[in-house]
Amino acid sequence: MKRLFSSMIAASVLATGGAMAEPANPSDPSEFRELMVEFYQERYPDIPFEEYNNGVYAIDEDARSQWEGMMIFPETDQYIAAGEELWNEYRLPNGKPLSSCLGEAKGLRAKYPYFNEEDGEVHSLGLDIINCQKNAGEDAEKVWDPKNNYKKLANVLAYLASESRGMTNNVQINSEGAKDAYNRGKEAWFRRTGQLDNSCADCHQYHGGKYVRAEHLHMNLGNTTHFPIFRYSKGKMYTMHKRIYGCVRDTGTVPFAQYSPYYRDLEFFMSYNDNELELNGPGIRK
Amino acid sequence: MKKFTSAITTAGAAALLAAGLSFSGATMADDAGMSESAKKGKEIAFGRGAGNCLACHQMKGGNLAGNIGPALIAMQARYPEREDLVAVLQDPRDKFGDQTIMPPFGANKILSDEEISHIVDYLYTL
Repeated sequence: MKRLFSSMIAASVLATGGAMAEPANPSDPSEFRELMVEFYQERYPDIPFEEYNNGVYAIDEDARSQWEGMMIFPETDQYIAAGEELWNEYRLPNGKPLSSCLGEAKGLRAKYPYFNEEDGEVHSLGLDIINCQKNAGEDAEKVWDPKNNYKKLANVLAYLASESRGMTNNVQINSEGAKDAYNRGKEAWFRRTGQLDNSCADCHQYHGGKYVRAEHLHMNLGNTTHFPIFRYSKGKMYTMHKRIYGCVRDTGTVPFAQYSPYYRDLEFFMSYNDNELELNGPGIRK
Repeated sequence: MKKFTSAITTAGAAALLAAGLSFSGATMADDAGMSESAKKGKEIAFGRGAGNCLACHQMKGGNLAGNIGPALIAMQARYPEREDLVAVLQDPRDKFGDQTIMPPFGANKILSDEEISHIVDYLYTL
């Protein structure tokens, strides 16, 4: 954290003529988000903000041309179609569709993640689907949780992402509770863990855009708008929580469960920082 | 090799080839003169398992290296004392500070002391 703040400070010191001494870590989410955006503007001055939802393809022309080739017949189409069928045909034990619990598909993804004032928790779309089924008394093995029915969950999330394409990411923070959730997510972002002793920020912020072997590290800005993603390297769909889980595990950390409060707070922090970007899921990555 | 060279028509490609040949030639020669320990070290440094130095550092003969850490060149000049280089692999936080992205290979038991010793032997050939 110190390092982000110190580079932010370096910028502000330049701007103010060296008056500041303490690293900036505003607890106000909008102020912190502003610093995060400036951090990238400073690193990639030629990349317009609205390009960040394209990930590393915003900064690498070669990779972008390959990526655009992948998009001519996007692999994600089949998952969207499968998800649409599931969404339309699945019935909860009470005979009603999922929309009876979550609302209509159009624009649903754009309402997530959100902070629920009643239970004091961040809600992820994936977990709300799972909870709809559980609360309606669905058989445990039929619930679309990541363990038992991951593919169904990913397909429906792909369909729902497609139904919010083109909308603007607009995560709201209107209470102390929501602010606290954002700041917990921020802490998770900067916390160094595991055998590699790395934080999310180590790779995806301080070194975001650099190469690990032949691959760019993704930058955190714009990294939530396109989930779930089809990964060519793995040949399957990844929800955001599966991706976070795997990334954390790869640093030699014992990960929390997908949709645990810890990762939901992290999702909230990351998503809020991506406000004003266009939603463009489901995405495709190498 | 002759056949290959004759196929090259542009000056640029020829220069590239010449560079490539001398490069791979040098690598082979380096490997030939390497101690057994350094060879083991190179294997760990280039491998994608525990060492994986190439993920972040450029090293002579390594393809598609990352660019997060500095290139590993002139190691003898940069680390005249062997124990200093060993210490960096054991726990880079001591030298580079708590915020370094380099993993504490020894302290967090990613590599054994023996493996670190092999890698250091290899690094001194660079």
